[in-house]
Amino acid sequence: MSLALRLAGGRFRREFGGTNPWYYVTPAMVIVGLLTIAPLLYGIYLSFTNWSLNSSAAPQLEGVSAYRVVLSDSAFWDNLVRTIAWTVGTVVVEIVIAVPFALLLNIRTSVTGVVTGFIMIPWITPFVVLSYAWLFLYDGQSGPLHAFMQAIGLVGDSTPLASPTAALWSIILISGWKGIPFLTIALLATLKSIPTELYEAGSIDGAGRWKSFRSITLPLVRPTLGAMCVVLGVQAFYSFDLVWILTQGGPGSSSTILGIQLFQTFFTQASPGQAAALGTLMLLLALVLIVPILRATSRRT
Amino acid sequence: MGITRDARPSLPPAVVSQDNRLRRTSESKDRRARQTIFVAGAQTVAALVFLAPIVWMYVASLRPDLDIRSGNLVPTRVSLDNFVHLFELDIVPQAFLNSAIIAAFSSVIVTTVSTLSAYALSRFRFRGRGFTHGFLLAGQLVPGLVVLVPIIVAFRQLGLADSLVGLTIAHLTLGLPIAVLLLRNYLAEIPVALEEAAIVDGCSRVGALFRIVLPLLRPALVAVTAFSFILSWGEYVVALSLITTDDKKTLPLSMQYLFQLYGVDLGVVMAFGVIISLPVAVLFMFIQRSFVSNLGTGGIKE
Amino acid sequence: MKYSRPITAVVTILALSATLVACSSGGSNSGAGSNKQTVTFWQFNGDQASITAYKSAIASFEAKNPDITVNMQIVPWSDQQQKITTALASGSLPDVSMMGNDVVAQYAANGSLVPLDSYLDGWSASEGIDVKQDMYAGDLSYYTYNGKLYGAPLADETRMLYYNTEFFQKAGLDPNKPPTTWADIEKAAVALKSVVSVPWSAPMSKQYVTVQTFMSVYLSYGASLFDSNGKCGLNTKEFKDALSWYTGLAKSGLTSPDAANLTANDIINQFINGKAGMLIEGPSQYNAIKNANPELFKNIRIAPIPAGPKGQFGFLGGWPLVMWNSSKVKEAAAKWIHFVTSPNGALSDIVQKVGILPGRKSLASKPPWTDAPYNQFADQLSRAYAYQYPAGPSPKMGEIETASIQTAVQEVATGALSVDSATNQLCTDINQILSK
Repeated sequence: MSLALRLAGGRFRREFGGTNPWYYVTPAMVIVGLLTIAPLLYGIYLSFTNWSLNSSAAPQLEGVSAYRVVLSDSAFWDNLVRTIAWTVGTVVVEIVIAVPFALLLNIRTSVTGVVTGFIMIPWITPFVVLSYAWLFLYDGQSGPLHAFMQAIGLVGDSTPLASPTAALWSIILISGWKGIPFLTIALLATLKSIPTELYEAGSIDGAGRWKSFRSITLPLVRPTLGAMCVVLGVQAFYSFDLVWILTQGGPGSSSTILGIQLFQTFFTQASPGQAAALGTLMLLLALVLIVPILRATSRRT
Repeated sequence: MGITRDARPSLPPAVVSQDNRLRRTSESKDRRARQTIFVAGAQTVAALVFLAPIVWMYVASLRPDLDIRSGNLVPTRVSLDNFVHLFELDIVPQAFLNSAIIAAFSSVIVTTVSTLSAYALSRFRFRGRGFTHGFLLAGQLVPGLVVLVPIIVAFRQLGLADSLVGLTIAHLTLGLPIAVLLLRNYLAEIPVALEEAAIVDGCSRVGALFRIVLPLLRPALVAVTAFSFILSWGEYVVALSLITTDDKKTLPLSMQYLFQLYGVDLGVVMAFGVIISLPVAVLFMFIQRSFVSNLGTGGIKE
Repeated sequence: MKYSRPITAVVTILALSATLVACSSGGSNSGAGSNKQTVTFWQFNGDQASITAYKSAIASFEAKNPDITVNMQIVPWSDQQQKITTALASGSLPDVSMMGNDVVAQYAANGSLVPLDSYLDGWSASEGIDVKQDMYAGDLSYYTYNGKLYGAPLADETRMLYYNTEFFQKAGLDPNKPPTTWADIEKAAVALKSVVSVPWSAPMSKQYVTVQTFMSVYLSYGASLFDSNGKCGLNTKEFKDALSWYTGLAKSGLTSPDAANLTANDIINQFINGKAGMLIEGPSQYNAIKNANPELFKNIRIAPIPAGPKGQFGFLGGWPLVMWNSSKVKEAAAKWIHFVTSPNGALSDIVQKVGILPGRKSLASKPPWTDAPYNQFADQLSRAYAYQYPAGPSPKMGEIETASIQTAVQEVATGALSVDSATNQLCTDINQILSK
């Protein structure tokens, strides 16, 4: 909450109160409640059943056996470690590129409009289409990006996607790349709402560019950055499509993340009960990971 | 940061910003022009490097499959054949329309609903505020595959399966939690004093929201609408499960027609990539004009 | 006021979309006649030729059966597994669908499919031949589960060796003597290495094409997927020799450096672009090569699949039509299945338009399948086998082929695991899948 609101809040409510906040939040609550929370409760119920499409039997409650199966599989823990690396890596790539990008685009020139429009494209284009472009860039025989990576000794003769050591990080690059546009736009929206007088006040005080960035821009951008970290992090945490298209989790299991495991449990193994258990575990893990981020970034001083 | 934030509400922004403009015009125009050209150059180069794979995709959409596969970067044969082929498939134009309808409706509804929620969450203090916030955010955390089956079953029973209305409703959850989270952050940046002043001047609460808050929130509204629009535009698994009839399929579903059992024409797939991305990018190019206005020159004077 | 602009835009979009909705929702509701039955049919081929072929089949079927309407819904191959799984879970299956031959047993085992045996006599009577006798032995084995037949063969596929005679000549190989054994293939590949960058683009990735190719190797080395107890039978010298030979191609640089991440498309396109000397692929690539690169096509010949120490084993691909148990119009569904899959129905027309091999021997012995190259493929088809040969189909086949065999090939090819440890891992995985 902004300080101004805190100062004004009491008087505000007294004089202009009477408008019921529930009128404002109910539509959203109904949508989330009906389309997410209620189905989730059913999904949690399913996670305690043995429901498998490989038998004709209807779902039956069977305690925590699905959870036991998931947790006792060593592949789950390997996938979890990779998923954390994948999530953190994706978000780091996004931030490292998007922050300077947004600052650059915040300066308005004759090309800003076109550039801001076009940089959205990676984000709009489905992974299936994009992946062909990246397969080409990474190709062991004719890919220019592979040639560059080979020249600096990062990879060998073959595409990094066929290498057990390079597959995961070479897909992280793509995953981060695709998320950059939205983070840039969201940051730009925040930057545009910073009044110029703040910077002018700063420059009167004799603050340099770096200092005004650190003391003015960064604190104002931080809540957005934090919220976006959560949003993009959660997206990465659950994602499976890019990896599935590019490597199917391979070579071996070197790029198998939890999203892939969930996808395979549901579709290949046709086990909705076990998939629900895995999904519920992922939900709990996501909560554990994001609550501290939200706490750290939403507190304002 | 306490000082500047404290100072903000007390500044009459319109006055300050007009003052800024005067000061700017008095600066050396030449230096500014050179700086602008430099920045424009930097923006263009950065965008080109960033978009290299996209450039490849757009060029490939004009080339025959065989040439793309040959690995040569420079096109020798260029034509619009791939696009012609794509539009000869009955499904693609219809799917484009369906996706546009679903994405437009769901993103507008999401933005409306989440603006109201975010407003309440940032402007009112009420019992259950924390719970409401958490409840709405939780929507983002639920893995899609866990809720897929119950949603499909429920939609079938309500007669919403295989319908555009049903898919639009299902897509409402895609962007809503994020929209609330982001809009609440943006709203917190807007000084309450402005609304307060408007309400003192005789505006109603809703009037103040529309006349004062929304214009200031415009960049954020654009970002949030774009976000929900694109999430719906590209959504695949729910659409696959709900939709079965050809004339109700969306773009991501229609794309699967390009992947035959024994092969895929890369040129046509890339042309599809252009068709699914270019209109949205151009649309966004126009909408992003709202980014022009900073706080000082926004809706306050009007 | 400035905010009016976006609001105007929103209103315009809403109004525009509303008119579009109004347009698009018209005409989709067909009145359901009281005694008319509708058969919902999922068709997996999204190409225009197939859609046209099935539409004309539906038209002639409906003319003969005025009380039945066929509602064809296209579920492209890349969607079908996900679509069937969600439909199975949410109770929204069609009456009739196509299916990959390897998963028929899976859906038969869980009781989702209707056995077709009770209809066979009627079908035989109407055709004047024994329908079962007219099917390929491999298909019958794939579609039979617990003694009952669950699939009506529609089309079949097998793979042969395509080779480029120009490269053969340049490498000093006799273009009239194609390799007939895997050892010959390796010799040819070594010679071809000097004239073309990829002698044979053998796939070692997690794509179906890997197991579809590698199965011809391991079966010909005498390995079998299941042992006599129905457990994993691959932990044998035969299988390890096959795995070692096949992955050795990657280690000695005879396949593409990207072999561990190649798709079927990549492999075909390397060959079409003149970057590979040999290709193992199906009949539909014949026309694909001819259309894409007529210049190169002049030098392309086709030879039988190479043999190993234990003989020659071709890949058996195929897709039948199946009937789902949830169907409420089973009699009508059976009529439609028979119409599509019988020589006196629409089979000949469909298979010709789509360019695949018919699933009936009586059709395959007539033109155009007696012409090259189809006659060669039809001949190879008589020596085509399932992955699990000589065992019968397993309900877990879908999971086994993707999750384990391909991964094992990939792990050895990338050097992540040795042949021995990959084989151990493979059998552990297979037995775990079987025990679930």
